[in-house]
Amino acid sequence: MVFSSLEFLFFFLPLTTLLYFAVPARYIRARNVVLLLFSLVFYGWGEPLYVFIMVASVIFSYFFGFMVEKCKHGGNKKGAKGFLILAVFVNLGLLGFFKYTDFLISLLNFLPGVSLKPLGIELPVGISFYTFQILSYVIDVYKGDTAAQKNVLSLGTYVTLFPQLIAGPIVRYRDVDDQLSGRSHSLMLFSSGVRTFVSGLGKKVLLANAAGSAFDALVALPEGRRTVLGAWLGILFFTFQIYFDFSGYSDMAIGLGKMFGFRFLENFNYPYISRSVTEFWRRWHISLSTWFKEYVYIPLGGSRVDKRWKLYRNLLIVWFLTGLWHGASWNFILWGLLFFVFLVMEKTFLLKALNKAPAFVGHVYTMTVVIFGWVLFNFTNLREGLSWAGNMLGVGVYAFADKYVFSLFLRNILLIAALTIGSTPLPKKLYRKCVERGKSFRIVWTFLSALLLALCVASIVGSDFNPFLYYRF
Amino acid sequence: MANKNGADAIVEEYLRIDKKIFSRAENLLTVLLFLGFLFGFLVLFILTPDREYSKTENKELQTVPKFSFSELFEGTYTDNTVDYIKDQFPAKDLFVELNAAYSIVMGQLGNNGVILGKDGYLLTEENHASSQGIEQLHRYENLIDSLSLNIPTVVAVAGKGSQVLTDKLPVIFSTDASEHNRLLVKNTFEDKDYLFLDLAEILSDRRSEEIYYRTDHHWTSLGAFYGSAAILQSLNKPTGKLEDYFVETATDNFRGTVFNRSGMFWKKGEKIQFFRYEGDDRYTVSFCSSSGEVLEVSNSLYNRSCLTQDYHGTAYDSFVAPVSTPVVRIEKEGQERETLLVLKDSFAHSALPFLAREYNIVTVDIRSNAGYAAKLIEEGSVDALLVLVNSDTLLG
Repeated sequence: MVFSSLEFLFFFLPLTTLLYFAVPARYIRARNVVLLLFSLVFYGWGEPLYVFIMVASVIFSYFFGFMVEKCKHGGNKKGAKGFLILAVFVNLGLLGFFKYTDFLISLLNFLPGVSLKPLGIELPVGISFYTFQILSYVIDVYKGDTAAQKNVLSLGTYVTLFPQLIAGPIVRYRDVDDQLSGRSHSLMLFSSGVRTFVSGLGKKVLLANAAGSAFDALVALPEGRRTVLGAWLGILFFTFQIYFDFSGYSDMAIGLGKMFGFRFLENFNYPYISRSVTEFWRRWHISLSTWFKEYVYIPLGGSRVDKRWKLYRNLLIVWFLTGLWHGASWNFILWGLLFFVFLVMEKTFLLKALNKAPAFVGHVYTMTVVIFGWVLFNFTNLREGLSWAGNMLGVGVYAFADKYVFSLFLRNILLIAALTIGSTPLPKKLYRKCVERGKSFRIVWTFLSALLLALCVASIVGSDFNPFLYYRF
Repeated sequence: MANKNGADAIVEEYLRIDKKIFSRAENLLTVLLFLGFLFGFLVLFILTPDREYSKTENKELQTVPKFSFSELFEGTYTDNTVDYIKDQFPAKDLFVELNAAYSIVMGQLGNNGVILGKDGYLLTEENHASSQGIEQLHRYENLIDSLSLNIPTVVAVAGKGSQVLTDKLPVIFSTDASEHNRLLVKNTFEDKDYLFLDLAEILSDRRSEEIYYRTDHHWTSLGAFYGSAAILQSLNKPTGKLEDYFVETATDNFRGTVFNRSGMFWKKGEKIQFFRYEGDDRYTVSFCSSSGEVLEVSNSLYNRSCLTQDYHGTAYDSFVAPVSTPVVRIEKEGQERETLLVLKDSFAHSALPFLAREYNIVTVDIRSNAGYAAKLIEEGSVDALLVLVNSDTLLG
């Protein structure tokens, strides 16, 4: 199930809210169980079989967490490490099996005499996200950052919690540990959640979908009709689509979390205003970069290493894995490596130069890297991606621009303006100015939000175009 | 919270705004509006009776799906439920209209692939033919090439409103795609041993007249008359004059396929006119199965049962027979006439009354039943072949 659907908005969410708040606040465990059951329905709705795999993962990890802690308390360091390794092995094994088997087969087929058939395994939705959450739990228990969860249902609630189950943010266990056993609910928090949720829904439905359909129109152009301007315009639409799609999803998740008393960390912080790639990755998909930093980069030694090459090695591993995490194909790996190259350049000399240069140089440079990155990212077929990048540079096009592209641009000019402004902190500033102005402004704002919600519903009812980009990771 | 980074500060900032600025009453208003909206429509959904068919969308609606474990695990149960909720959503038409209006306000020139043109015309937007579309075109080319070997053949490609009424389109709208597609078709059939008529080009000279519907992609009876005249002329048959016909207004509340798709349900209906002539109710019109077996016979070229409000389909079906009828035969009793095989899509239907003046007719749908056409030609039971379709059909 996705948030931007009628079944979620008008059936799932009201019923969950009703049953959740029907349980008195003092029975927080019972409330957790309500969330757990509804989350299983939420997941099982789209994955009626794979839901059992998720449940099995939870039970295994509960056991592993329990054993890790038991061994640690008993002074059995080796045992603790053994169970940790087992937990990592099982969870990454499942992820690897479902996500990477066919990719591995395609690699093996390059060997002479090998010709294996791909298995055609369907990827369980959200497995990349919940696997990382489970790992963070077991690792945190091992490191002593948190105690093992005694209640398997509470652990289940943490892993399956529907707001962040399918596309993050990747919540670290220790960040919600105490919230699982005690959290406060209030009218203020709920209404704050509503506001965050509705703005996320608007980002997704009205902005990301519109940008996506404009991009798709340009991708659908036959080879002989490609233009330079069309290629740039297209990837620009995708650049906006992926940001508003994903950050809209994160906002909805954070908003839903607040409604049920959870406080998740922000996942995006206006990434497109960055002045360097380093800064971009501090602002984009923060929960994923934090995860890799914490559970891969720092354990490898991070930047506190005695030799320079070790730093580069650590970065290489992190960015290779970041790319691979997004999907089992070369384009994602190359996408990760592209950032590795620029991050290394920035670490060695570029960042210093950028800091001295005027701001716009940094903006243009960062967005150029990011946009070419999205070309790699979007086209799983490398040849198509390279051909698109070629089009942007004037290779393989029939004209610089044509009437079709101008027309598409003009028809979307308001959308482009909204997308551009929406990528900056300006709307937030306006929002603050507006609501601080007085009561009548806040009431008008509230009714405008209601109208926004109605428009989103209209768009969901009236259009069949409603993809979720991060669904496939 | 364990980790205070820049992003976390944003969450805190919003919470601070929510806490400090919004009063309890204002927060309550937010929550009530939100939950009221969700629960309100949940209740309305349960209370409003389900519909089976939507006239505005011209669509059979999904009714309550039956549950079974096998369908659940295959995913069809959830898919059907999703369709059910969407189809039966309370005030669905209003929401669809709101979405269309929003799209127009945002400068999209229309909605859902329909352009809001001048003088109230709704025109479909074309996309450049895909490579599969071009493959399909070549399959049709091969088919027609082989059929035409032993029979006089005319290929007539009817233009759609959006291809012909270019003057009705907004200035910033690009006709690149429809022109591209028209030329693809033209270049394919132009230099063949059989005749090719690009009716879009021919009709362009008449575009100041009412030759297309405002809410449907088909040509009107007037457009079909001009199209048929060009076809009959190419077959060396008399074309007739407009004065030969008297006009019957079959309905003045026709809302066609483009309307159905546009979401602009505020648009008014329009007329369907039948161009009647002496003796047009004395034909033998047989509705047949795909193998030519007669299922139903009528005397009229007009099927008026399709004009009623409770008919599940488009009123355009009133021309001769519903467009989905696999094979239609039109014969004039007591007269020995040549038989024209019309390999067609829906555009042919409103042209049939004109063609039937000169020929006995067998229509065969090009998309689903071309094998039967080949059989008829092989048997020698037809004298000429007319392919009458629009470019969308040829391009898959």
